[in-house]
Amino acid sequence: MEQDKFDLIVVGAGPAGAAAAMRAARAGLDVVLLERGSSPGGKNVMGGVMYGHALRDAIPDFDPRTAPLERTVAEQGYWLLTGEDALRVSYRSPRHAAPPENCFTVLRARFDPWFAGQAEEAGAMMLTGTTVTGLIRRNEDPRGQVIGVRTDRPDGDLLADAVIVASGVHALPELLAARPHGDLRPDQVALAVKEVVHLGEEEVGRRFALAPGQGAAYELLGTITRGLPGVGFLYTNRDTVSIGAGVVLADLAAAGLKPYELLDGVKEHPMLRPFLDGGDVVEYSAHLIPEAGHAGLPDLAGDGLLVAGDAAGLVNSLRREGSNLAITSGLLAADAVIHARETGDSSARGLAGYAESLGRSFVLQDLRRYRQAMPYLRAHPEFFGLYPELAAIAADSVFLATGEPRRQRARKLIAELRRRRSPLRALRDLWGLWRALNG
Amino acid sequence: MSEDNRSPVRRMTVADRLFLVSFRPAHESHLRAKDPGLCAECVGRPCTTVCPAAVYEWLEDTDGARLVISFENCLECGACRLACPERNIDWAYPPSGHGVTYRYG
Ligand SMILES: Cc1cc2nc3c(=O)[nH]c(=O)nc-3n(C[C@H](O)[C@H](O)[C@H](O)COP(=O)(O)OP(=O)(O)OC[C@H]3O[C@@H](n4cnc5c(N)ncnc54)[C@H](O)[C@@H]3O)c2cc1C
Ligand code: SF4
Ligand code: SF4
Repeated sequence: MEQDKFDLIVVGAGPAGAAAAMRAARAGLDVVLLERGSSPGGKNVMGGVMYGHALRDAIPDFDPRTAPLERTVAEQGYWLLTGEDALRVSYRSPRHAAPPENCFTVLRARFDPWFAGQAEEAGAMMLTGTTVTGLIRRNEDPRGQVIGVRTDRPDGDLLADAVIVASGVHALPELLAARPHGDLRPDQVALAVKEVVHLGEEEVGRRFALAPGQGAAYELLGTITRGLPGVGFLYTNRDTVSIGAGVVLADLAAAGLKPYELLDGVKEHPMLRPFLDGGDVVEYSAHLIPEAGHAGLPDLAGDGLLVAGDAAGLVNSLRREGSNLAITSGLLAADAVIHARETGDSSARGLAGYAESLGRSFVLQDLRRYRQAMPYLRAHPEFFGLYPELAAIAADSVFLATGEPRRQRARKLIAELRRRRSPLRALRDLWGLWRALNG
Repeated sequence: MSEDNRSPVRRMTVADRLFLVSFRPAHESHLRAKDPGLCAECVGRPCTTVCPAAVYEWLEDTDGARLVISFENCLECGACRLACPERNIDWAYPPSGHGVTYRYG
């Protein structure tokens, strides 16, 4: 029995789990990494912008040229889309694309096998095609120390001193330490749908005016999500683009809107069509995104158990950061397990260093800072309807020449804006938004 | 016609979209409505609208009224489990080696 016992079991070979496994294996722990997909990434979807800082933390001698990255992001921006119009704000900097690179675009079915491979190279054992179905607790006591996991393999029980659950957003209740607020609710996740559209490498470069190897990542805001709180995205890959949109599941359900119809609306916007026309859709996919932020954090540790990445809801949806929070949390969870092995105490108390270091890191600091943002935006659908429209009216007044004196037109504009929203309310909304975005 | 490589974005059906995804269906469904009675009473039947793969369909015909679940098209996102107001969906991952496999992700 004893020889079957690992120092650490990691559930899920996404960014969080693979990062945890590689760090623990490098420290000499006997680690097994379990993944339900036939290969890592086969079940996974993201936009996806992957951040350099997290990759460098996970892999000390990280060299982007050796990794299956699509493009190095040189330009990021926000496109405010209304009716037929687009107000675009973007920032392109060659510095962002130069070492140390800020971020990259990735496709998860290509990225994840490589990233999980780094854990194997570090000495972790990976078992793919292995679905974890539950936790094993000491003496079968439902509150006892976690001592292993059940899997759907024959003789599938595995034992370890500690388990890191990194199984992603849709972590089933039976895998979590405890969710003080119960199971996930539909207002705590967004449902995102995505398509990958093939254009060819040169064509991607041409349409987005990109130097070879460089990429762009745009967030699509405005009425594009049909008044529902959410965002779209348009990212460039090597020879494809990723386009998608996500909205809060509860709102999607209440509106009776089908997710693929939402995606149709995004793809058919006149600003986006020229980027997609003629391309071949090569894949359609769907995935949830945790949106509960700081208010929805589950217990991060139990006896013998740590929770990392999306399973713990560690996504800063306002900044579309999730992969880096996943990697950082996975690394810190591994550090706690390494420490617990030294002290011989893998109880919740022995593993408490995880919550502490996560609290000091950007992960929980940022979630805390933006804790008001999502509730505020969901309570103010004007930001997904009225305000983008007013912004377009204001842009008209700047860019349209009509032969009418500018002063006269400014007066008309102000009257129109007042008619649509009282200045006092608008000020209050904007002040509220500013406060929500600034903690 | 001539500008084939600039043909405009074509509207796709769910079936068109699912055709692009590779699936290895299991023999048995990993999704089940626990209490069909609840589905009969359900207002709006959100499972039939939120599912990105249109897995759930409410059918009323000579065989009666029922929820048809095309589990083999499931993208395993979990939305239906959370969106069902009655938590009436018995949801599991398909057995290892089955279900969806993305080539891009
Ligand atoms: C459409 C979309 C766009 C996004 N865009 C971005 C972006 O641009 N930038 C960004 O930083 N983040 C983005 N995110 C968020 C990001 O994808 C996640 O935060 C990140 O993937 C979380 O990593 P993770 O390892 O915690 O979970 P996951 O990546 O979900 O990995 C979990 C792994 O566990 C496996 N697993 C699950 N259950 C079991 C089980 N029972 N047994 C065995 N294995 C199991 C899964 O197959 C999977 O491989 C996006 C998300 C979506 C859906
Ligand atoms: S949402 Fe739930 S209760 Fe309603 S029809 Fe679907 S499975 Fe049945
Ligand atoms: S898990 Fe997602 S794709 Fe599968 S049936 Fe539920 S909503 Fe549809």
